[in-house]
Amino acid sequence: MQQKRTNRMDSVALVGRAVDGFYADLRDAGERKDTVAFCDGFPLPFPLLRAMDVSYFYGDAYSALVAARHKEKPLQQVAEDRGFIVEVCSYTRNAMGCALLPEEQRAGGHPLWQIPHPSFVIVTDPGCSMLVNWGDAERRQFNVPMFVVQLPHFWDDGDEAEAMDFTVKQLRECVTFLEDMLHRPFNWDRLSEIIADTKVATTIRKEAMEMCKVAPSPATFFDWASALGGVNYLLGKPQCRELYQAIKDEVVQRVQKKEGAVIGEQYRLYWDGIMCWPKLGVLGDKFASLGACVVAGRYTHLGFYNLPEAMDPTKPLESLAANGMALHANHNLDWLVDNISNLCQEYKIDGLVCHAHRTCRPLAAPQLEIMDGVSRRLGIPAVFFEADMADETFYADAQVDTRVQALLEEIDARRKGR
Amino acid sequence: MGLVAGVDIGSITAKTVLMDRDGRLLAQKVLHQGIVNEAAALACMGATLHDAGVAQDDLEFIVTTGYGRSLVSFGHKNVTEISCHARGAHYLFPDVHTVIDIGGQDSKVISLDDAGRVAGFNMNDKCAAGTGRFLEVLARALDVALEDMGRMSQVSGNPAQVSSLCTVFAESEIVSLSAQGNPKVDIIAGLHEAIGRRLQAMVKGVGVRPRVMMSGGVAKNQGVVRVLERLLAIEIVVPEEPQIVGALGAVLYALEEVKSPTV
Repeated sequence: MQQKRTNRMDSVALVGRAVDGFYADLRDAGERKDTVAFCDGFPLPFPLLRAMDVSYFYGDAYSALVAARHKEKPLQQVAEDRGFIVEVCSYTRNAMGCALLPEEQRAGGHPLWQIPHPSFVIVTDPGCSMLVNWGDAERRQFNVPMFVVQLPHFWDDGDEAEAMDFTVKQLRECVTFLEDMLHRPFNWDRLSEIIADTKVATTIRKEAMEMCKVAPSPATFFDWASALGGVNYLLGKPQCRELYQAIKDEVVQRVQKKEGAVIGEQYRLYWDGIMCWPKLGVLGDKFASLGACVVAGRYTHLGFYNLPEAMDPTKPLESLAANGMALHANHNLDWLVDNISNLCQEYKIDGLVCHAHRTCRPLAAPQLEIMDGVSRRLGIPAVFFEADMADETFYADAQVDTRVQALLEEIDARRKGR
Repeated sequence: MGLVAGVDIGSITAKTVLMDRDGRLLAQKVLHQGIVNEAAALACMGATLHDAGVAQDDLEFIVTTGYGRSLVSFGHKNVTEISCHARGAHYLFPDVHTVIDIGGQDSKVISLDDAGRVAGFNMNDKCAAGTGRFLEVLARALDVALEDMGRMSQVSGNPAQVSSLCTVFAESEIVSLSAQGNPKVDIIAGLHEAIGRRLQAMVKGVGVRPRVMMSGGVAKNQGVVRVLERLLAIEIVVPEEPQIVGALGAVLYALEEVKSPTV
């Protein structure tokens, strides 16, 4: 590989500090014996929990974080020892490894392993084959109640109004579940404030992301993947708005100065699939070293609270439902090909990179058809590499090198007309 | 003297092709190296230069390819084996649209457009299942010469059922098949069937467009080629020296560089 050409965003480093603060607060909540919720799946219930001042542990984001910080291997071993074999979702394995960690290993281990036990579990399932089983394993491990929100899957063009009613009804039941768990009435006024605040924060983030349509792009997919920390940990807090404002300010400055996130941007790429968290820095540098800027992705741009315009403080549950229903994973192949193609056109994408994550089968299953559909529609090349979102044993550097380099050669050949 | 070289540094063999500035092929070499390293690649290039009666100093531009392409220091540019196989195949057979390459430790299928550009590809290389190394290990287990496997399999009237393509499991499976009294020719034919079925899915993933060419060391095994022809219902052309296609593509990239430099 060639020289390092990554021009990292200073403001994205703020995410790491905010995340550390979140986990410190969570540990404090545990020590105070406060109520703690375990949440897995789409981050839909966080505003509800925030409205009731309940601390939460978000299994998916936690598993990504420990993988990105290389603290996941002992957790995976503990999980595997209890039968969560390597073919099982690595997010589940990391989180369950933490849940199953022997007390002496937890107490003497990394601060990220010192997670308090839950009072209840909430699963928000967008049609994943694992999530309900994962939540159920936590429920059984800690002997606590569980609530499941099932996000509707738009396998055909379907009735959105019906899906909205279905989702809102479940959120109302979730509110009742929280009232039962906490023995106090739900704070609707606080929820409206949180929705208003979330609308502002996610609007700022969306505006900053859309500024990356220019070339050179001021930020990368890897920056936006890191910046998901705001949604995952800070929704409803002033810090969330401040974080995205700081990122947007830096993006604006870079656009004004025509400063790219990749020095000498030559190629603009789209990323399909979840981030490969153990290789966040490695992959950022690898693509940059070849002059390739991964500009946009399904995970970051069609995933988490990307519909701020649907946020209405007077209709908080509908606002949440609309954002949950907008998640890419709930939609059929035609929707995915249409929306990803539009994204690629808006961001002037030259080629598609598909991360086929070995242990997230539901998201990986349609990838071949998605890439084929988008590639044919836009006439741009696509490449696959197999790895995983949180288990680096599935990653092989030489294979990624060959595939990425071959993709860029394909783009070059098309540009040269031979 | 202005010569150009393409060096394909694979997992088992190094291959070199030498050309002059007019695109005349001067020499080519395939060297079994056992392990990827710079010394083996240099030895292969040295032998090629010797055959052509020229010196290292006569080389103006070298393109490296294969898994070891960026591990060696003497190349001026490296190009992936995907692009090089496509370029080499198009040079040998301009009407080729699909290349099936089975090398020492990986296999790939490349789709070419009419201009010989890569239109898509599929690789499977996280284990040696169904590759040259797989056949090497199983040839040893069966106590037959690797180069005899193709011929032997063609006299089989009843290929054995080999279900696993994992090198380790397949080895135990053929021990069982031998113990059950299955003739070696049937076991080898069964292995070729298993490789063919695996490749068939990869080829169909990319799309089969005639003409289909096969390259890599396994292309010398007529048993595997015949199985693939049957499964894909298409004729497969194999170049005279199928192991040289990647290096040939690399030398063509080198030639392009001396004519219109990009580095």
